[in-house]
Amino acid sequence: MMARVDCLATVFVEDIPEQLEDGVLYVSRQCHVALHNCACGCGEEVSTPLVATEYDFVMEDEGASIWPSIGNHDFPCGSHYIIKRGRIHWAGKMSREQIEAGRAYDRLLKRGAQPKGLGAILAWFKRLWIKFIS
Amino acid sequence: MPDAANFTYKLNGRVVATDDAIVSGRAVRNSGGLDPASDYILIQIADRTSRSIGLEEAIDLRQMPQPEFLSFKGDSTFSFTVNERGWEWGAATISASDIYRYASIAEELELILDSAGDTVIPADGAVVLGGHGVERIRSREAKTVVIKINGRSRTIPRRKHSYREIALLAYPDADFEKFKYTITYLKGVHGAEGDLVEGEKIEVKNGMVFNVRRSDKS
Ligand SMILES: [Zn+2]
Repeated sequence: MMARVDCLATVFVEDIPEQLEDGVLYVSRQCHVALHNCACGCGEEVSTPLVATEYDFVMEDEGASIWPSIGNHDFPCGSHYIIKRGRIHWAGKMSREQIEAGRAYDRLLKRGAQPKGLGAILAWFKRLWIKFIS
Repeated sequence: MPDAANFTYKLNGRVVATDDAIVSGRAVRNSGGLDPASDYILIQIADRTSRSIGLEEAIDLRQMPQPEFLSFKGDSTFSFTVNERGWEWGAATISASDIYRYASIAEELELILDSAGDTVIPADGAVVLGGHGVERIRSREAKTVVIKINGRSRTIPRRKHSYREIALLAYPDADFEKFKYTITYLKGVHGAEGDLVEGEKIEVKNGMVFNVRRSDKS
């Protein structure tokens, strides 16, 4: 039975199980990764690497938050959502290019020193990024 | 010059100081509160070897740079060899981590049990010493390494691996026409970390962490 979930329970583990349960966000600090089954219930496994250039993970009392958003064109189901404080916030269409542009901007920021022209590139990414998240 | 020379040794990881250059096996046991001393086996770790120390045996602390002892409750000692050097132990099993540590074996090497047809001893495993005959343990260059990929352990050959090989470990049905795989790695050779992209290959090591995220190409 496929069932959409609206929240994720966070479980901290060292090794991620081979089979995931729906509605659970598995987080391995040792392996710098979180995995969960797509919240739409399609069974697709979603990997969110927790490294500077990929996803940010924050754990609060209410639950886990992951940024940037999950999915969309990445999965056959077309799901697109944000995980915030353990809840699934279903989001509208955002193209993969837009999501990747955000990540590329992140990469530039976090990778540090870059050759000349960086300012202009960053400004371009930032404009693009702000346009999509606002 | 101080009047009395001060000597130290380690018993079960704790540092013990003494003014005596020569101590008995009984005195070492007593310094760890092991009472009665005769209920305990005392093992001295030396240079990639170990031996059992009797109660009345004299140990000259001047003859060794950092004397180290381990105690075991019981009255049996077990013999085995590590890289052809003789060892004595006070318990019927020894953990692989103790072998690595006390025999000064580099972590990138793997341990082999000779007597069991070159079986690899897992790094978190142990060797049973109480059986028939003397166990022979060797260390050698590992043929495989254990890495983490999307949080799961995978044993792979020790060689360079390509972007596609790593992606296939995470997604055995990977489709490189349809999808793009973003591969990041941490804890690589000499602490290497970064991205692995199409056309690249990377050397792998034990405990290396790979994470693979799939995205659509369309
Ligand atoms: Zn889905």
